[in-house]
Amino acid sequence: MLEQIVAVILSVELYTAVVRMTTPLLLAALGSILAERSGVVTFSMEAMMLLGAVGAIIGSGLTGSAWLGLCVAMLFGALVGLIYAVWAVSIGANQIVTSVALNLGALGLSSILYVMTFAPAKGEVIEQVIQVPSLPAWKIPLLGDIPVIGTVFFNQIPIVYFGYLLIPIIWFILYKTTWGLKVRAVGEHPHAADTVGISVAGVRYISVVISGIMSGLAGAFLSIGMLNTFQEGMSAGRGFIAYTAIVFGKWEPLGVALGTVLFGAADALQLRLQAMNLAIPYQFMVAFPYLVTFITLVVFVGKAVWPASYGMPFQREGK
Amino acid sequence: MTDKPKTYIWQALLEKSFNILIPVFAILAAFLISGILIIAWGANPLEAYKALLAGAFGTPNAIATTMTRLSPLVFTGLAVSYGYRSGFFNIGAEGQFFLGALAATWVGITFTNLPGWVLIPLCALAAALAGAFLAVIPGLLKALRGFNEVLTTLLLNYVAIQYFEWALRIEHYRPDINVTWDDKPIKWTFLNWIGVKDVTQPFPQSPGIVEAAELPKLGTLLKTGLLNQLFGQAHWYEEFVANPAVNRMTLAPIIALVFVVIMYFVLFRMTVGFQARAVGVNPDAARFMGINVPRTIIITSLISGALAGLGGSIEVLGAQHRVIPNFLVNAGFDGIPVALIGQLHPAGVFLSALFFGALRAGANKMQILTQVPISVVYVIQALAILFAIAGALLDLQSKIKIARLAKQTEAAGEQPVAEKEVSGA
Amino acid sequence: MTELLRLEKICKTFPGVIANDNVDLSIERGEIRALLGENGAGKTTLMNCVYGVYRPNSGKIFWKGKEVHIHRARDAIALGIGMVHQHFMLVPPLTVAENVILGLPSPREPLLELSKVEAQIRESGEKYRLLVDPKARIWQLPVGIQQRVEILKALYRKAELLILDEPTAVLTPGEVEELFVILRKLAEDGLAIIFISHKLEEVRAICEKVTVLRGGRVVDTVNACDTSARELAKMMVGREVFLKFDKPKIEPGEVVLSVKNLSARDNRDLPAVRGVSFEVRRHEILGIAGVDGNGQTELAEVIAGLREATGGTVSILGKDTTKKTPREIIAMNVAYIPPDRQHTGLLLDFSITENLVGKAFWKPDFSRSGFLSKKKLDLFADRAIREFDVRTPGAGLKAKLLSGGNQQKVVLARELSGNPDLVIASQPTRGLDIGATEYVHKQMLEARARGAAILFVSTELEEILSLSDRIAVMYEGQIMGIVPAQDADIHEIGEMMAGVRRLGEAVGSGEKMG
Repeated sequence: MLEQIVAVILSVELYTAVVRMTTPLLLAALGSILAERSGVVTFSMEAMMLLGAVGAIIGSGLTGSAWLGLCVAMLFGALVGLIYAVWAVSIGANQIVTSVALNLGALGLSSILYVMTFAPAKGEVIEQVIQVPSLPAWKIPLLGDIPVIGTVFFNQIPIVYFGYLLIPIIWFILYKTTWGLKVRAVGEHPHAADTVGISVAGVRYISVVISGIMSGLAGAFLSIGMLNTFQEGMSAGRGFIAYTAIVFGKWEPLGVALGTVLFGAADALQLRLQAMNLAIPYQFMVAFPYLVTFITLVVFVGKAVWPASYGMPFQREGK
Repeated sequence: MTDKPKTYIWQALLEKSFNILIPVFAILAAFLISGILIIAWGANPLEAYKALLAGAFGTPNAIATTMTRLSPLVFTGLAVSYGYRSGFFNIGAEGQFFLGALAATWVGITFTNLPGWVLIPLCALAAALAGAFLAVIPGLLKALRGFNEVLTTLLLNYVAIQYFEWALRIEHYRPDINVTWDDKPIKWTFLNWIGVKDVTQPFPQSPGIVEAAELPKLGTLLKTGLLNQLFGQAHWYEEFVANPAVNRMTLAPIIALVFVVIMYFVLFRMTVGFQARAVGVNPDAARFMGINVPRTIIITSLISGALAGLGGSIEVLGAQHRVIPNFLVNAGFDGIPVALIGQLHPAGVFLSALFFGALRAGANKMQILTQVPISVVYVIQALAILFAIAGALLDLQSKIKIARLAKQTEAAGEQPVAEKEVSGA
Repeated sequence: MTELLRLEKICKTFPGVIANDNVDLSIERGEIRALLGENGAGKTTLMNCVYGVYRPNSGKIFWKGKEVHIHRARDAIALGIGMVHQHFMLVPPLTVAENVILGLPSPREPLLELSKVEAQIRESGEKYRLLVDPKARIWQLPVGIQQRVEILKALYRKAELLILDEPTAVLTPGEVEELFVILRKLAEDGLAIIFISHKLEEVRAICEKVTVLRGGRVVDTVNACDTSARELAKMMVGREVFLKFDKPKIEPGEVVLSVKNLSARDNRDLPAVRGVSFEVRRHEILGIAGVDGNGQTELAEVIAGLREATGGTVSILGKDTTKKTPREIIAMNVAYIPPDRQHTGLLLDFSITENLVGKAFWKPDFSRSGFLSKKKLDLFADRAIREFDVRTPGAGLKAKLLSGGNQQKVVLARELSGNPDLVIASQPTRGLDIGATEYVHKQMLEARARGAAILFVSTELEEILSLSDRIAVMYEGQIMGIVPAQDADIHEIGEMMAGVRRLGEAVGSGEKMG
């Protein structure tokens, strides 16, 4: 049995699978850092991903272009973000409860939209698996030719490469631009940001919509990047995993990226081991990253790390 | 000015009624907007809703299904609402629910010789303990170290659910059976003690609990109880008892209702609830009033977790009689909207659980009769939650009160009302 | 000098409260103007209208002769108005430079460039004696330095008018002097400065024009030097202030509270109380005077069991209570009135009844084996509401719907209705109007007459002088001296508040209050 496990761990397929399992988490988690740092809990990534997934398949199926599918996915994600922002920012509703509602609604709406688009006639069920144009893999010249590393990292679909780039991009926005400064200020002390003329609501709206766009992209990766089809509830809790990765990474881009890799790796390994039908309790593999996150949170993170106004709506007084 | 004019009582009643009106309007609005979606789908929303209603309440059988769906939701809704009111936002009801179900099942397949009146409470107790155990970890962390319970309860959900999944695949320990792992016998450990695998089945599931552990059927009870002595000879009574739907129904919804009453008393008529609510509203002020805040948080987490765990046992003892993978997914997460639509009041929780249960129960009939997919139900629920929380935030009660008091002050020529501190001004 | 800002007939109301009533005001370049008034006189509201935090219900604002509409802070900043709020508007984890540039376009938009900002901070720091390390993070800086950052922030925004809301509340007398030097320098450079205060002496010290507000209206604008403190006080409160009550002479009884060598730390884990010792007897009010933030609040909390003592002992009626829980101390018949009634004094979302029994619900009077007796609660609430004259349509009303004065009455009813042996009153009159303040004083004297020992903490010296039997002055966590009230010399107390330790016993020379 040991040899089998070693074979799995040494296989190139495993690492390719790790990259593919990590990418949707990476896109959603990194794309949501800005919203989180501005003080809005992005528990709603699940909903954004689901509608992104169905948006991609609808866009790709109707237009015949996977690229337009991506655009529709981002649009759908942005719309969920917008609705979320209305409740979380303007109305000032509890963000967790709003997210739970959106996740529930997205579960229903995504499958309705899917069936409405692809059913042969109104009210009929879809019998065969719908296939739409999917994204092609782009091998990056030179880098893609490196043995093993090239196959694992540089022979993927373009969204994966975008995911790599997102790590420095988000870091740069957060720490090297005036916009990033505003985001950090709004998350830590919205009242102070307000008195120097920053629109707290504006910063949060834009951040949440960015979170929606990126999570929509993550959803598109699930439908037209990985499986090339849509299944009801196909995000399967990845939105929550991405959220956990953000906490694991202490709201820092690099840390969050590492968190997504941890979860992606656990997922890939778990699938392999399960497929080999070994008598290893793979459930512990699935639970492992959560335990690690729990322990990092409890032992290393402390309480002073999350943004001071985290999850709290901002209301100006006395207008 | 302590005299209460008659009008005040009426106004107080009117203000109280907002607690009911807001969720009712939210639900109506949700149906209205979902109707548009159904029209877009190509069906008649009125017919679809008629089928939905028929599927939930149209026949005794439908009512039985609705009641079965309602019971676990009442418990998770109570768990979330008690925690929420007390400053412990329990996102972990899902995991606690699964652990509770697992513990109840384990008791129900292990202590096979006990009579029902011992075994059923024992199952429930085990479930409550399991749920409380999972919830008290974040409770302790919040009380003693100040950790955000939303994050910790969420994380423990996954750990608990994976543990549940594993336990379904590990053979149940009995002294006469050797536990093996990779063809080698392994020693007894705490972990595999709680395994519940049914060795006779190829796919993972637990054996059914013994009959004594199943909640009594309403029909059986009516045939033997006091009511039977009174009405046993009556023809209509015999017919009623003989109805298969009555026989499907168990004590579960009645137990749920009992817990609603209990939780009402705990929250509003007991010192435990008083302290918990005080901590939920303002922990600093609670501490200044001499309330031990950390201890209160720990007790709250225990109560909340125990309720969610009990929900798991109700589902096992009353409905499924065994556990299977994903055995009732989202019952815990659904506790959050159930609690919020129920305005965090135990009675409201029961009503909103009824709404959730009815929707889920009626959805199948709607799909069969009108081809409208079950998924619409999720959309209706989501919209109802969104409107309900938005409506609650309008805080119409306070607004009306302030307006009225402002009017009174104008009449009296003084200013006893200040909505907010005009600090230092 | 030319006119910079003019307000005409500004009105601002909140539900049930008129905060500003037809206020006119005119400020010139290079002028330092004090805005004097009691808590609740409408000073901060008026300035918040100028800064765009609030919008006036009616009235006009003119800036450099032209009418302007200021909808939000951004508009005010664009005009050249800067404001330093009482609670600083700085983001703790960000650096000084980041806080200064926050909300402004950077020279290399959209990229952040801090080096120029840092240079500029150093430059104006040297010019106006506002020295700050631009790379330091705000949470690392003491309060006095944070105030400088706020001023630098306004200067960086090219403010021509600087509004300071109670700038001295957090400062020691020495720091106040320094601040005034800085303000004069800024005024010399043509900046107009409005500073809000409710302290007579301070306004007289800076000796500039003073506009006095009362009940939302402008009473008068006078020159501080030409007006006596008594006259200013009269303008502030609208009648002669009686600085001394006719409090009956009662011989103090047994020792109720005995504090020996007590030490404690504040929320930032810095030493706040350092080796304090004193006693309070029955029928006696011990006033604790001092500038806000010198350990008085922490001292009161340690005695109430809410804060851990790091050294020394507290004993109440002969029993050591240093390690006791808040509830055990409550059970010893000790009342504690916290300084912040909105945040720690009351549960605003609870009903009046629930607040009234907030400290006693667990006692056998109100509950049996964990069950509350609704009947007993209601009976008690009705009686307390009548006795303490709480103005409310019903006991079921949420506490947040009451006015400040009535909220404090609920707190007093909760604390005093059980005839406590010891009353710890921490700033019980903060933010109250004159009527409510007098009510609190009356209650304190009644408790004294009933035989309670009272520890009365206040930053208002007048109040301390008039109410106390003995006065202790705290400075940086230590007691500088304890004097009998009849021998109290206001200058000496002022010196002690600034950290001059009193040596030996009262000399009894110099001007006396009264």
